Amino acid sequence: MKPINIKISAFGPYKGLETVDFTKLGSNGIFLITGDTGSGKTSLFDAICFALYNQPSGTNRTVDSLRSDYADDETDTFVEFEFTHKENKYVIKRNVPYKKKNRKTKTVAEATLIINDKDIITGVKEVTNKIIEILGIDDKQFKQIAMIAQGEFLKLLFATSDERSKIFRKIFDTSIYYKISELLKEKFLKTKREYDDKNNILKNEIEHINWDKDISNLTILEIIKLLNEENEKDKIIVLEEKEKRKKLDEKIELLIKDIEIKKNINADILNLKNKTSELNNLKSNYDEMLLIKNDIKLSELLNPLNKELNLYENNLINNNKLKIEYENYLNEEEINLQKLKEKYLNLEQVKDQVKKDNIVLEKLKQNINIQKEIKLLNEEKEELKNCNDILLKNKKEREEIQEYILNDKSYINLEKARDEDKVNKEKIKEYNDIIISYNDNLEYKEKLKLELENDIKNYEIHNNEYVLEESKFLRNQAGILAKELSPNKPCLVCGSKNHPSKAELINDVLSKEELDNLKINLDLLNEKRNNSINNLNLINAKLNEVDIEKINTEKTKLEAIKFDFDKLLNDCKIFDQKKLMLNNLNNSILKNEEDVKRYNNIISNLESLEKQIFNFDINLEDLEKEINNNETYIKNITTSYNDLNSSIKEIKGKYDVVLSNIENETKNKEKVLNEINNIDKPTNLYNTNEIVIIKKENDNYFNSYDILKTQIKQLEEKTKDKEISDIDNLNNELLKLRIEKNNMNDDLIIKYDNNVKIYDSISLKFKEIESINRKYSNYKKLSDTANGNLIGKNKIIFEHFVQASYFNEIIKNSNFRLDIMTNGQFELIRKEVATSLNDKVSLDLEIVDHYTGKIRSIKSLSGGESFKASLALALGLSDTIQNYAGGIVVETMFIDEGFGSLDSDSLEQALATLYDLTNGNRLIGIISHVSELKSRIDSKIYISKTANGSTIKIEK
Amino acid sequence: MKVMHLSDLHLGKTVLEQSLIEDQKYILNEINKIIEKENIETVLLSGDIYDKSIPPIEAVNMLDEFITKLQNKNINILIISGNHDSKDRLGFGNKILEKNKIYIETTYNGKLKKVKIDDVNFYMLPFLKPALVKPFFDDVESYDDAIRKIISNEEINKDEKNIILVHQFVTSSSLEVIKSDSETVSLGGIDNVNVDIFKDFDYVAMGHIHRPQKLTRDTIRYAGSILKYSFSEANYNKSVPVIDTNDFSVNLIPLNPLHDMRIIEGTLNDLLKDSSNDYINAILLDEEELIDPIGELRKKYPNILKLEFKNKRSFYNEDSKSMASGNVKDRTPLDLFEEFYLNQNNITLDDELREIFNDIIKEATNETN
Repeated sequence: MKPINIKISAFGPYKGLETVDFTKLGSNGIFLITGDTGSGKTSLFDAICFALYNQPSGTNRTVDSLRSDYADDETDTFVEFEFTHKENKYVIKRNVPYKKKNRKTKTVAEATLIINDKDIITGVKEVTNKIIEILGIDDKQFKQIAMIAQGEFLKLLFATSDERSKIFRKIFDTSIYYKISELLKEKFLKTKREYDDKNNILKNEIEHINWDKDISNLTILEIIKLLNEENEKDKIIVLEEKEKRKKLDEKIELLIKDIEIKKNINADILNLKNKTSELNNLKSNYDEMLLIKNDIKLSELLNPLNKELNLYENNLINNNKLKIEYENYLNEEEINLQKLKEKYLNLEQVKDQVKKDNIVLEKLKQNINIQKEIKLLNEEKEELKNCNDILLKNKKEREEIQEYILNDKSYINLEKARDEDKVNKEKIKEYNDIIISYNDNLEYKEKLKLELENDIKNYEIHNNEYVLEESKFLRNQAGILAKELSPNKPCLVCGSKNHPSKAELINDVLSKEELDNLKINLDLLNEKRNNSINNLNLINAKLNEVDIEKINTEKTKLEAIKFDFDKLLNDCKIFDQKKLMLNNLNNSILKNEEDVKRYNNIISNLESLEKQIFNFDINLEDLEKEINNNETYIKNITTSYNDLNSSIKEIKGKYDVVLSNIENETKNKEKVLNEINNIDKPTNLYNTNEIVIIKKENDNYFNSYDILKTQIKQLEEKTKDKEISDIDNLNNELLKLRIEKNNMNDDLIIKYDNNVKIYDSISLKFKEIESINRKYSNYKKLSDTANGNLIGKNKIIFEHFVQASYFNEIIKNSNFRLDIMTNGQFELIRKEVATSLNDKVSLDLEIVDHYTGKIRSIKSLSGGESFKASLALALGLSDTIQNYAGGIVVETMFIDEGFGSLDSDSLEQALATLYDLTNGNRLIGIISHVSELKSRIDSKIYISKTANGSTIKIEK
Repeated sequence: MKVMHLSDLHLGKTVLEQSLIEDQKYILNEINKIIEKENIETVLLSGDIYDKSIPPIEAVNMLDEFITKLQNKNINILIISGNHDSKDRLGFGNKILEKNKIYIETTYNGKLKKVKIDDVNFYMLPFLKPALVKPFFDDVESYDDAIRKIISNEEINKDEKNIILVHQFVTSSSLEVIKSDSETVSLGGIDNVNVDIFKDFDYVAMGHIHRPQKLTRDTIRYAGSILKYSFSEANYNKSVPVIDTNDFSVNLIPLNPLHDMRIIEGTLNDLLKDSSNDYINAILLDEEELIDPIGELRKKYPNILKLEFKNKRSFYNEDSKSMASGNVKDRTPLDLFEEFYLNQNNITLDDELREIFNDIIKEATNETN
C-alpha cells in the first residue's frame, strides 16, 4: 500500500480542506512530520486509518470525535485517500456524520471506493470489507504494521507475558486458543462444583439419618444397605400406631361441629327479645309523626305561590313610579320646543347674507395676487435701468479696436526679419566658443610656466647631488686600488714601487648600482624638463593664432540687431490680445441688445396689471370671521331643533310601554291570589329551609319502624321450637379427647418417615455422583494442561504456547536490526525457564549483552537502549505480520515520537536502520519535533497550529 | 603564497560515547606547528567546523583559541559553514571579524563572497540546500541544479588565479568517492553535485568527505577530517594539503593524532597478550560463550570503544518445548494441542480426551465467530 494523495476536510484539528501530496516526498526515503504539540501530527495517520477502515488510529478516540471543533457548519468532514497497491489504483472517500445546526438528525455516513478509475463500491461496511480483502490485513494489523504509535512504542518491550499475549491475540487472532483454555477451565470448574455439591448434600443427608449406629468407617454404599434394613424392621409397628390415631381424630372432628351449631341458636333467641322491646318504644310517638308529615306536604304547595305574588306586587310599584316621571318630562320639553321653532323659521335671512359675503371675499383674494406680480416686475425693471447706456458705450469701444486692427503691420514685419535673426544667433554662439577656448588656453599657459620652473629647479638639485656622488665614487675607486698597494710592489696604475700618499677609503660612498640608479633618475628629470618647455611653446603658438579684439567688436554689433527683433515679437503679442478683446465685445453687445428688449416688455406689463386692481373698504380677515360666525349659528340652531324633536318622540314611546305593563301585572296578581285561597291552611307553615331538616327526621322514623317489624318476624320463624343449650359441657368433653391424643408416643413414626425419605434421596444421588466423577477427571486433565496448572511443570498456557511461536519469529526479525543498531552488543531472547514454577514466562523477554556475556532483564536497559530495542521489536513485529499476511508489503510506515531519548550517535544509528528499511520502495514518516531531525531530514510535512485550526505545508 | 586547506574539524564530536575534546586540542596544536614551519599565509576551513548546530562550550573555546593564534601571526583565515554547522551561530560577528582578515561565510544572497588576497581570488560557497537557492533561480530541484546555477552566475576571470571553498558531496561520474561511516547518510533525495561545475577553478578546496582524496585532478581535493571519526577510517592516516599558488603544486603533510583508531582481531586470549591506549574496535574470534569479555579487554585496552564477535553464538532456540513448532498459521487447534499435551504430560492425548477436546473446539469456534 503506497499513499499517493490525501485530502482532509474539517477533520481533527484541521478546519478546512488540507491536501498532502505524498508523491512530492519522493517514492522512498524518510520524511518528517513536524509541528507543535497538539497541532495534529497524529491526526494525519488517523485520517488514513479512518479512510481505510472507518476507525481512528488510537484506541482512545471514536469516529464521532473526528469532526473538527473548528469547522464551519457547512463544511463536511471527510477524508479522500488515494493509494496504489499491487499496481492498482484506489481512491477512497469517507465522511464523518455530524449534526448541522437547526437539523434534528445527523448527516448520513457514506463511503465510496473507486478502483482503477472505473469500478465503484459504495457503503460504509462494504468499502471496509473490500479494503480488508484487497490489503489482506485488518485494521488492528494495519495499525501495528504501518504505525508505531505514540506510547505504544515501549509497551511491547516491557509488557508482561499476559499483556503481550493480549496484544498478540489481537494481531494474530489467537483468541480461539484462549477461548479453548477458558472453556476447558469453565467446564472443569462446573463439573467440579457439581461433583462437590452432590457429595456435600449426600454427606449432609447421611448425618440426618435417625439412628444410633456408628457409621464413620462405612462406605456410602454400606450405609445405604444398613438403612434399608432398619427401615423394614420399623415398618410393622408404625402401621398399627397410625390406625389408632386416625380413629381418635374422627371423634374430635364430630364434636367440634356440634358445638358450633348450638352456639348459633343461643344467640338468635337473645336477639329476638331485644328487638321486640325496641319496637314498643317507637310506637308511642306514631300519631305526632303523622301530623308533621301532612304539614310538610301543604307547606310545599303554598311556598312557591306566595313568592310569585310578591314579585307582581313589586313590579306594579316600580311601573307607577316611572309613569309619573315621564309625564313631568314631557310637559317641560313641550315649552322648550315652542321657543326653538321661532328661531328656526328665521334662518333663511342669515343664509342670504353669507352668500353675498362670499362673492366679495373672492374678489379680495384676486387683488393680493396682482400686487405681488407688480412688485416682482418693478424689481426687474430697476435692475435693467442702465442697459441702454451700456450698449452705447460698448459699441463705441468696438469701433476703436476695429480701426487699430486694420492699421497694424507688425506681423508682416516679423516674417521679413526672421531669417536674418537666425543667422545672427548662430554667429554669436560661434564667437562665444572662440572666446571661452582662448581664455582656457591662457589659464593653461600660466600653469605650464609654474611647472617648468619646478622641473628646472628639481633637475638642478639632482644634478648637483649626482656630480658630488660621482666624484666621491671615483675617489673611492682609487682608495680600493691603494689598499692593494704595499711597499716595493709596483702600482697597477702608475707602476711606481714607491707610494708616498696612498689614496684613502671614504665613508658613505654609494655602490656602483646605487650611483647608476641616481643617473637614471636624473635622466628622467631632464626628459621631463624638456617636455615642459615643448608644451609651453605649443600653447603660445595656439594663442597667437586668434585676433580677440576684432571678435569682441563684431559680437557687440550683432547683439544690437537681436534687440530690435525681440521688440517686434512683443508688438505681435499686443496685436493678438486686441483681436481677443474684439471677440469678447461682440458677445457683450449681443447680450445688451436682449436686455433692452426685455426692459420694454416689463413696462407694458406693469401698465395692464395696475388697471385690474379693485377698491374695497372691507378688510379680508373681518369678512372671513363674519361668514364663519353666521355659518356656525345656522348649524347650531338646526341641530338643537332636530335633537329636541327626536328626544320627545322617544320618551312618548317609553311612556306607552309603562302603561301596558301596569295593566298586565294587575291581572297576574289577581290570578295567584285566587289559587292560594283554594288550598287548606296547615297547622304549622314551614319555610323551605325548615322543610329539609324536618322531613329527613320524619322519614327516618317511619323507616326504622318498618325494618324492626321485618326483623322480628324473621327471628320468630328461626327460633320456633328451639331452646337455649349448655355449651360448657360440650367443651369439656372435647378437651378430654384432645388430652388423650396428645398423650400418645410418636417417636418411632417420625424416625421411620425421616429415614425412608433419606434412603430414597441418597440412593438416587449416589447413582448421579458416580456418572459425574468420570467427566470431572477428564476435564481436569485437559484444563490443567491448557491453563498451565500441571503440578511440577512450567506454567505454560495453551495460547502462550502458540503465540510463543509467533514471538520467536518476531524476535528473530528484531535481532537482525538490533544487531546493527547496537554494534552487535545486544540480542533479544524469549525467556524459557521461570525462576519460580508459579510464574508464567513463556512470552517474557530477556536481553543478552554480548559485551559481558550475560543475560539480563529487559528492564535493565537504559533509555536510549530501550528505544533501540523497542524500535527493533516494532519493526520485527511489522515484518512478521507482513510475512504471515501472505507477504503483503506496507510501503509507507509512520513512527510516532520516541526519538527524544536518543543521543546523537544513537539517533544516527536509528536513522540508518530506518533508512535501510526504505531501500527498495518504502517511505517512512517520522512524527517528531526533535530539532536535530529537522536539520537531518529534508522532506518535511509542516503542521502549523493557529487559533483557528491547523494547516499543512510540504517542504522538500 | 602558501595556502593550507582544512575541513571537517567536527569540534565537540563524540565517537561511541567517547569525547574527543583532548584529541582535537592536540591535533589543532599539531596543525599550528605545521603552519609555522611551512610559513603558511592563508588557511582555508571548508565546513563542518563544529559537529553539532549547538556546539558544546569546549568546542567553541577550542576554535576561538585556534583562530586567535593564527590571527596573531597575521594569517588570513577563510571559513565556510558545513552541513553540521548552524549558519547563524557560526556566522556571528563575521562583518567585524573581516576587519582582522577572518572571513566567515555561511549564507547565500545571490552572489558568492569573493576575497582577493595578493593575486588570488577566493570564492566562498558554504553548504546550501536547494531550498535556500530556489529564491534566486528558476528550476532548482536538486543539489546539482542549485550549485550549477550559483557558479554559472559568477563571472570568473580565467586569466586570474581562482580558488573556491566548497562543502558539498561533490562526485565524478567516472571516479568513485570513498566515503566513511562518520559522514551522515543522506536521508532521501540525491545530494551529490557533479565535479565538472568547478572546472574553471585552479584549486577546489572541498569539505564533507572524511577521507582525504583528490577528485579527477590533484587540485580538486577533499582535505578530509582532521581525526579518524569512525573505524571505517582505521586503515589510513589523515593528512593536510598545502598549496603553493605560484604553480598550484600540492604537498600533503601527515597528521599524527594523540590516539590512533584501530581495529584488532583475534581470540580473547590472543588479544590480551598485547595492550594499547589507542581507540580500539576489537573483533573476537572465539566460538564459545565468553565471560565478561569487555571487562577483560578494558584492563589491557582502556580506550576500547567497540566489541564485535565474528563467530557469535546466537541464543536463538528453534527447538524450544515451550512453543509450537513449525508454521503455526497452517496448523489446526487440535494438532497444536496434541503437541502441547505431549510436551507437558509426556504422554499422548487418548481418544476419549480427544473427543472432548474436539467438542470444545467446536464450541469455541462458534463463540468466537
